[in-house]
Amino acid sequence: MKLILIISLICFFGLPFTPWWMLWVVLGICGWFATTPKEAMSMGAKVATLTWGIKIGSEFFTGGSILMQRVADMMGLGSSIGLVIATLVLVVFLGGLSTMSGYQLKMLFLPPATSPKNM
Amino acid sequence: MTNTRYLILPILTTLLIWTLNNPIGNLPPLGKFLDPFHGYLALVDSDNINRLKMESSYLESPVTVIFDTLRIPHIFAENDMDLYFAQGYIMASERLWQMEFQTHAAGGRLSEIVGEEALGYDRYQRRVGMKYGAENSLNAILKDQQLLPMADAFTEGVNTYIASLSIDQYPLEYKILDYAPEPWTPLKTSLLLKYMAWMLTGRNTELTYTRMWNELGRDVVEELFPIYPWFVDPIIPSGTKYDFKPVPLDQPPNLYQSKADRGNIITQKNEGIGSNNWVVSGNRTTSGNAMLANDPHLGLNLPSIWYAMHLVSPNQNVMGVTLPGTPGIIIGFNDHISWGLTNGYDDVMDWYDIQFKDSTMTEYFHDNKWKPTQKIVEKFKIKGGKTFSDTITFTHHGPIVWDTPYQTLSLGEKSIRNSIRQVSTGRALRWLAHDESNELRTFYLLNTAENYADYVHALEYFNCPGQNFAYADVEGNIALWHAGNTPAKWAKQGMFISDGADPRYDWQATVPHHQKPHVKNPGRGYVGSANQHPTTSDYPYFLSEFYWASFRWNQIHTRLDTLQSATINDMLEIQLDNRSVFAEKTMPIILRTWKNHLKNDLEKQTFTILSNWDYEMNGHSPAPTLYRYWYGILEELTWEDDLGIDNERFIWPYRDKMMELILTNPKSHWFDDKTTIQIETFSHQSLKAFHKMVSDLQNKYGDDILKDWIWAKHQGTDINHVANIPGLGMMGLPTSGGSDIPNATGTTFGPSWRLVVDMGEKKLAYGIYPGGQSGFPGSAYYDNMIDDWVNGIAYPLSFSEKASDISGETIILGNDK
Repeated sequence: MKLILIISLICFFGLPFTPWWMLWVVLGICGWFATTPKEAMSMGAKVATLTWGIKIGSEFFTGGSILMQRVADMMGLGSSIGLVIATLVLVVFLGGLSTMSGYQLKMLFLPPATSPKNM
Repeated sequence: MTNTRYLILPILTTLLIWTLNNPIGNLPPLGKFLDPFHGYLALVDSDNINRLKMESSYLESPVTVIFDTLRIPHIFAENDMDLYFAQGYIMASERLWQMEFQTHAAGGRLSEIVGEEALGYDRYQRRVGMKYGAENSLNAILKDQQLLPMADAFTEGVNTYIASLSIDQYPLEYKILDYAPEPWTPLKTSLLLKYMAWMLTGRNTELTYTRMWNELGRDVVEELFPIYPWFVDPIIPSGTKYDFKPVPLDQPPNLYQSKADRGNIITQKNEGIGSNNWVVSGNRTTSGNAMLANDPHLGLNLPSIWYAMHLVSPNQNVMGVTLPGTPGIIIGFNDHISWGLTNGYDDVMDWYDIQFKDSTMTEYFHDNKWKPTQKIVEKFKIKGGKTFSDTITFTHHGPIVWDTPYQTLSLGEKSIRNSIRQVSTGRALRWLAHDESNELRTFYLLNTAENYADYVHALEYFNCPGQNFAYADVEGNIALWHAGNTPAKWAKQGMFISDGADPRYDWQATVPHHQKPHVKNPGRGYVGSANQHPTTSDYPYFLSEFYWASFRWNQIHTRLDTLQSATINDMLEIQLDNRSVFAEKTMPIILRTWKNHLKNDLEKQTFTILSNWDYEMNGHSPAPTLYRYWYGILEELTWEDDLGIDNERFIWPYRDKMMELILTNPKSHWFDDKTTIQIETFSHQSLKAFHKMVSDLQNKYGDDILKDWIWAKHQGTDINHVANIPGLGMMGLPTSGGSDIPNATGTTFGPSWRLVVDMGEKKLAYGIYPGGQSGFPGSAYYDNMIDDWVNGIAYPLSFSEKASDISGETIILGNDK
């Protein structure tokens, strides 16, 4: 959990200066170091959710509520809560996929003997 | 080989991220858009006024900007250039996307933003000469040594704001549509003015009238669409003498009859485009000061078409509204005068048959000579990288808008159909807005005017769209000028398709300024306009074959007549007047046709409601629904057998013609249904429409008339986003009003700005528009005025030449020299 918090903090403060897809690159790298697919998936989903979730929450409570409602209406999601949920579902999915991709690349490049047996 | 399976997920993930980085169809690039660090949430701070503090080497002196509680900026500058720089900067901070999008729309560049689906629309914009006209008008600005620095300062202000934005800070719509702002130029301001000219003068009926002449006879056209209808209450009071020698015009002995029936998309009625203005002299007001009221009726959108501002420099102290993208104030007041606009509706758009020498269209016949055409190649960039070229042929009349029928229907048919009024294939379009003109000068001179002479002088420069400029000043004078560079036409010139080979059909001259319809300090103590006929038939020039019926003005006229000591509240109430003159004059006759034929309880209830109706088109009442629905069916029963579906091959006559028939000729053959053996009269058709109305509305809304058939539900008002982006508009507003009544509020149109000013030494002014000052959908000021607008409330406007008198949030724009 500590590792996840550290990665999330780095992402949170680093992302304003990088393209939006850098998060998924970082999570892909993190996935490389995961020892099991479950660990990879979980790490990606948690880091992505924490990073985006905290930012979304802070914007909501500092003047973003009207904007979020408008965007929710535009996307046919009904309410800003719906928009937050839809965004977080996307984030969990993308985060998990990114770390799993990193993990899969490790499987590709590392000798089979070093790969976990459950893969 | 088996290890390659480990590549599948990384590849799919990369593809997914790539997909989310790009727009799909009309969707924004979802990944980029939803990213809270760079996407839409990066804009949350853009509602913060303090972010606008800046320093610029362009400014000579610091500029103070105070945003009041309505978020109207009050700009105090030491000189005009600083003032217009600050105006451009502040306006862009609130409305940048709207400013640019509208110029893209006007200039035929939407396909750069939305792709090939807009190409048909874009081609049409270029082919009718929007860009051509804007470039011509830009020449006038470039030659104007006084105005050019002003336009440059405004442009610099806009561009300073654009340069201050990071990509993350681009307004929301840029993120949704995935593009970036480009530098502002004076050409864009010129395009915006042409956009208004198109909206207000693009209505024309030559094709449908010519068809009607060919198929039904000219007498039918003249009967159904008389130049001076039965019911006219003109702007310039009847009895006014037109004591001048008109410009001599060479008129052909017989009117040219075009036989070619080319093109088959015809006039859109655009029912809601109109406006009211009036001025009352001090001897009819409680304050003893002259008063001005103005409410221009336009299509309603978010962000609103208007932006309110107060501009102060040593040279001016002016407040009102302007079009986002235009320097100065367009409707408003200063220390000395106030002015308000309604559309003039002069016919400044004519179509000409052209005889080309051959299919290359390089020469055409005019004045007994073959003359060369000019070809202009327009290039279009399309989102995604494609380009398209279009060659437009120009004659001295103007562009050949369509070379061949349905030329571009494969390229955006829907968008074309939605945007045009008339397509006249193979014909040249003469449009006043093509000419070099300098409307900005008019507004600058009005903004700085001190008296009636200044106002009259300012209007000399106004070309197109022709407007009725109402005027009131602190000296108690009131006036109204029907201004615009109107062509001097002989009777019915341009009513039908014209002969492009005969120079007598050319616009031979313009109406000299002093001969334009106008009145100063009329004896009755008030004057105003509601898009009706400017004059009686005594006026020597033919101005147009169409003005709106006098219903609105007649009601305003009646109200003003009864006021001997008018107050600001009286003026505001008249703007909200919902009384239907048409219903008032015809309802008693209509009810007689139903009285003894009521078939069931619902019909009896309907009859009772309309019998007790006060003719007010109130949103909470079902009576307007009944009456307008019935009227729609009556129109169908009256005209469809003779003229087909409205707006297909022919248009149907207007409400004033129907009123004339009901009141004076109820047995007219027009009421007879030609598809039946018996002879129908108004009584038959009125009753038939009544039964159908009750039955239709019952099927649509059920049996509870008082609750479910009310006008606000049946009509209501939708304020869509300018680019029709869902969720960014306000739908289903419970409004009162309707077309042809003073409170001309409809489903998509209405009073776009209500202004009332009492012209005492200290100005008392009230205003409101349906929207908000901010163009940012995440701002509380995006739509904050809409509820009050629906409820008929107007806000007091803070006006003073001293910054210390204005309260609000203050920022300073500094110079960093």
